[in-house]
Amino acid sequence: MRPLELIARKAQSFRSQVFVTRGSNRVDAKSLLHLLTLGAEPGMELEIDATGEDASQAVEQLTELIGSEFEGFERP
Amino acid sequence: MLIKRGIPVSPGVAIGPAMVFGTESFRIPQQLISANAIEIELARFHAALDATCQEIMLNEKLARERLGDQYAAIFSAHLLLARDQQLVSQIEERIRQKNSPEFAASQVLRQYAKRLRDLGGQYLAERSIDIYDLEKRMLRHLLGERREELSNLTAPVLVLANNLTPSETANLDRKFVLGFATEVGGHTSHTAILAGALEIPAVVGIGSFLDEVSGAQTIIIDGSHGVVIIEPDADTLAKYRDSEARFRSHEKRLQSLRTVPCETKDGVPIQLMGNIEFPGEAEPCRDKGAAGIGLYRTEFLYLESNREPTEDDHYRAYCQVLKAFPDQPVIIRTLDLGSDKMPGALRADYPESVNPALSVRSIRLSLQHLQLFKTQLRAALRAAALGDLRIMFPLISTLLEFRQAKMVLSDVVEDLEEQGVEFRRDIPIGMMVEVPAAAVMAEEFAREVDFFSLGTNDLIQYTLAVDRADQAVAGLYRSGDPSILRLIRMVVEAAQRNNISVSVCGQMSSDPMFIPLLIGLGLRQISVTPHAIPELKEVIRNLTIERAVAIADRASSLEVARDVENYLWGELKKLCPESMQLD
Repeated sequence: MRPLELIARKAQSFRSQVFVTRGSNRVDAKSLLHLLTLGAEPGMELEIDATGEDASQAVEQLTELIGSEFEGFERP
Repeated sequence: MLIKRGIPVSPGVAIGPAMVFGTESFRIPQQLISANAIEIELARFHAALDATCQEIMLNEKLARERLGDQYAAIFSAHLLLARDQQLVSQIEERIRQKNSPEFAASQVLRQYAKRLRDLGGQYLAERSIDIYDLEKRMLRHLLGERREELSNLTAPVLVLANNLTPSETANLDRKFVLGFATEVGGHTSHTAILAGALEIPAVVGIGSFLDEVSGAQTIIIDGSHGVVIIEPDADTLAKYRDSEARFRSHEKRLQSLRTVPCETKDGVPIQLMGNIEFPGEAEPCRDKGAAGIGLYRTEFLYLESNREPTEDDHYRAYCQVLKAFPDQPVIIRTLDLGSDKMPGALRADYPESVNPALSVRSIRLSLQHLQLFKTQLRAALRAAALGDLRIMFPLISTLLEFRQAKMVLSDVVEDLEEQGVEFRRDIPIGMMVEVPAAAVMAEEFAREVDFFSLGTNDLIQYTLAVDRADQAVAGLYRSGDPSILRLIRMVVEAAQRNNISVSVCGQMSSDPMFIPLLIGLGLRQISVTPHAIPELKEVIRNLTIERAVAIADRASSLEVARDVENYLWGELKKLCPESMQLD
């Protein structure tokens, strides 16, 4: 659960609303429970989007985090 | 409305609120709250949530100090879950919709748990366990002092569980338990036996369903057809209340058979006795028309309380049973502990065995713990002064074992004589025939014992090598298997040749369709679950010995269990066309 926990905590540190999408599933990145329901595994494509004042930092930092936490993940 | 199916093991219909039973579980008192209580309940929820979080943080701190960061990380994850905004707002939403916080929390958490389980995979299945853990914590904080466990219920419930073991249910409050539904189990599981003893409906072997139900939801358990319904709609509810009424009137009809003699159509008496686990069941047994107790499972004395029962505890229990049957046999079986019924005190000596059914249990345990064994034997011999008490040893597999047990008994007799304690020495000593080895050597055993009792539950288990509690092979456990019929015949004939009595006690004998077969194979003493007595009496009264023998012969000629059972079922329908099976 560690990687997802880090993602949730990181997302919670921003004021913007942040979402992670896998396929047709778009979930609240601040919710560990919702992140779990993504069933994400290394190698999968995830999309990150955010709305709010610190949106661009949120997206940047989370992309960085996911990239380092999930090995073999490619940045678009 | 959700409909689940499983194995019907105790007939009848029960309707009421669910209590989902885990290793530590509580009854959720109510589903709904009134509109003007919403703000209070929201506050109560948040207070409980804060307390939960505090507790988790404390656990994390302790874990970090004592077990290291790795382990502590588990709690930090739990904390993240507990504070999850999505979770919290969903629970709040439910409370605003007038659900109690307990019900709301339980429902929402279980939905998440189910979602994760449905996604599949070991990892997510384990995360769902974390969610259940959180649910337990929250309920504990929400319910506080008002926690009601199985032993101190204040309102009727239908108990739903993965499985129910003897130690878990030994203390349950019988007044408030209306029915059982479990995910695992079969006809001879503890749940089935207990439900039979309590005469409440039960369905087992349903498969996984607990994450689709919460405490306090309305449940229907139809133990006659193996159906469990969660949150029934109005029509279904009405239909089942109807069935409940019909079932009760059928029971009344059978009650009228209480005083008629239990004999075949051609006047041959059949001794129908009762199987009991608690002394309190003796009187109801007699009221149902039992001609004695064919099996008193004494190990429940050990499972009922936390301390080991004393000789006087045993003595009192046996006397209570004898009082209900002053001139009829009462057969006590010495402790059948081990496997799934190991009492707390001995658990330390016996690490979890790989094959509990083949390990130290029953007579083997008694012979390894002479103190325990002698205590029970002393109490039995003393109680025998008050009535026709008989003793039988369970799981006897060799002549040596039987002789050893008898030697212990003679030691006890000597002790009692020396001490001048009042007792009766000439009591019949028999054995359970449940290990195939004993059935095969029936002739030799028949020369040494005073009586046999066929323990079909374990005999079938050991002969067909099927674990009766394992759902994966439950279908292979067949009472009608030709091998079993052959063994029963072998044992009965050996008993007859050596002039000793033989009875049968096991779920098989409580099933009406096997009665003609058992009588046809030569049995005249049958011990059954008390609630089955009236119905079985009806079957017996419609039967002649000639017909029974013909049925037994024909059944014995069939090669597979399914054919035997179909045949017996057909014959039962012919014998009792207006019988039990409702619609």
